[in-house]
Amino acid sequence: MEVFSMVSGARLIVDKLRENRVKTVFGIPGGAVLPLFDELYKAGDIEFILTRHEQGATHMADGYARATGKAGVVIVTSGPGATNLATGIANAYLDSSPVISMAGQVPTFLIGYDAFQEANIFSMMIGLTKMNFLPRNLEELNSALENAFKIALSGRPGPVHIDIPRDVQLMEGDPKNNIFSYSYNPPIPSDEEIFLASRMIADGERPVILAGGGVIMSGASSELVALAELLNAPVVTTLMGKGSIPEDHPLSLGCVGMHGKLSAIRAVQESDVLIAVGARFSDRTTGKLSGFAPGAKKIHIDIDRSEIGKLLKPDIGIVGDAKYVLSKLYSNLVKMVQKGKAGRWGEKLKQLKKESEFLYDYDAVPIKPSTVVRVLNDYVTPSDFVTTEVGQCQMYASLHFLAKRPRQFISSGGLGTMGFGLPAAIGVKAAFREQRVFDIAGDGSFFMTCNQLPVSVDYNLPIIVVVLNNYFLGMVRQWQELFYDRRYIAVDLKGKADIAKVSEGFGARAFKVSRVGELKEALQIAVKQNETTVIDVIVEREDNVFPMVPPAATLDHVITGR
Amino acid sequence: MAIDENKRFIVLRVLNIPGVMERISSIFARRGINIDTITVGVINGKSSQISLTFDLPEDKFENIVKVLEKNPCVLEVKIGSLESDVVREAFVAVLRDCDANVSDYIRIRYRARTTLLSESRLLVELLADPRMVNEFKEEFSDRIESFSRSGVMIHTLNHYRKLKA
Repeated sequence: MEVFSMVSGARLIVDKLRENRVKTVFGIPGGAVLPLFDELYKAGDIEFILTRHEQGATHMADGYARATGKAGVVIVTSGPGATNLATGIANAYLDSSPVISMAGQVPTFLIGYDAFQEANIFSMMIGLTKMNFLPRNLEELNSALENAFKIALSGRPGPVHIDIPRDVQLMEGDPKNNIFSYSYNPPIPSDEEIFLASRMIADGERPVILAGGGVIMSGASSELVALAELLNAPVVTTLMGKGSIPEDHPLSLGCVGMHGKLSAIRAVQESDVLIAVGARFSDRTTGKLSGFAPGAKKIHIDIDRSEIGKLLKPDIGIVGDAKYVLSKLYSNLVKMVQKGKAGRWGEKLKQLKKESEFLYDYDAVPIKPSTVVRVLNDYVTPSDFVTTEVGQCQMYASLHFLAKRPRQFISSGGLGTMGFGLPAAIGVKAAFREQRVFDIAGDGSFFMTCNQLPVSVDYNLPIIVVVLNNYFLGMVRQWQELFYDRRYIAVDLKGKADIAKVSEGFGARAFKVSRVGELKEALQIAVKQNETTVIDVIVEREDNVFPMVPPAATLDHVITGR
Repeated sequence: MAIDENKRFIVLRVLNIPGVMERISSIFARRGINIDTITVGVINGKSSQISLTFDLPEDKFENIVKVLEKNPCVLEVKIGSLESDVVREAFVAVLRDCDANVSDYIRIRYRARTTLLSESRLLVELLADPRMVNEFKEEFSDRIESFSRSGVMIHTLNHYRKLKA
């Protein structure tokens, strides 16, 4: 006798969340998604974090996903609830973050009839996701849920969206069949390809490893460090790869790119073999591509086949998982080279590092933004997390914050989303309640998503926001200064809004400081107290982030100061 | 017949679910690539076949193929060519000022099916290599009253790449 177990669509979703060990969900309810919320209420074991705007919910889920490597889940309503997801989902897509978003939708019989809170979310999401679904019955819903987690997490991760019509949430049945079953076979590169790459590396005298976010996602940090040490090869990273090697390691030269460290830029430009792992040669990393590492043979390793040759034509392209390929390279090269002798950088590395250190005036008043980040280094333990906003604050963080481990540094790389850091920090905190989470912010970014501060307060997910406040959209101002002859337009934020008071109004503890001593005192209190804290640091208004490679110039044209 | 080196022929086996066409066409749209022809046929309940033709230089073509291959909706990508595969397009036209002689000529020269609709109006149904369709259109341009063409269907014989299981 066949046994039928009837479930509703809403219950099916909750069951699949449980199956995938989802403990926390972010979002906002609304009419079209109420059946699902009612099921979440009945379930009781999935924590729902009510955010103040859907964009923030996606950034929280994104932060959660980046910190854990697991899927971050968002549930919102139809129409404006779903259109508000766009920025956060695009952000997750560009940085390959496994976010799963679900939005209610008007009932199937009203789709296409301009019903209340109906928008064509299916089409909107196509360009922003790895995959999206609009199930019209329980079988299709079952199939979408079965596949969503697999697709989001396999290979190169990415967001998946499911639009769930209200009537599908209420349908009852026994959905056993899958419309399709997604299967992913990780690409395994041939031994011959890896041997050829090993030979090319062994023949080089000045090898450099460029590590991207793929190294972190693949969990390949120890393989990366082992290979670097074997070759005596310096490691430079992309912004997404920051933390793939501890940045206090002697072979770590920091981030390369438009605001890269001078040492990293010089090493890349002087290299004769460049091994790029899990990086995609973004324009912000390479500068003008034709002048990037001009004398180097290039080896590109990536799990995404379509990245190989997309922008840069490598001498050898290897499609494979970073961890697998790096360990294979190591086992070949350990027979080919003498440990630590392959890279003949000699004293050059020390010299490069020395050259890239600037003199810092710690006592300047107002305080320099770079000083704020350097001071912050003393308060961030290796188990803590740091998120950033976007703009000058992000580049100061990239240059001066020393990441000690993978996933410690979380930033919006590809999309460059101002307002990402604060909600992302809350998402990280939701996953790691025992660790401290700092957000390095600018005042421009702070005001984009500071409405999420009450979420941090309400759910006891304390974060520490350090605002580098120059009353400017600093990065745009810097470009206008350097490339538009100081014709400042639409960059002055005036400073009449008081960040400390606003934060207090949201229920956070707040400080307003402008000297190193005050900053240290505030940080001391912030790290001891377990409460949401905002430190508004009034910094030098027109400080510029250097080094800087002008847009569309090669890395050789790096500017080191005014 | 001249061969345009940038002319591309692709056959995709895709999931037979709503939205796949939009997902595929958006890959082309965001890169500013105009799809010349697109035809779809259902293979079975779970998958369909899409034939696509478009113009793209070799250096950009490789990336498009890889991007299509990694799309979760796409089960298989095959690259076709006019030389080694069967590339066909259906073409239906109504011609004026035709008599039985013209009809015979078209039947023999183009292997088309013809039906006299009236004394001088001729219905022509042609299934041919798209280059031959173009030739027909050119030869009878002053007599074609109306026409429809289906877009290209590609059946690959041997020259293909299979990258997904």
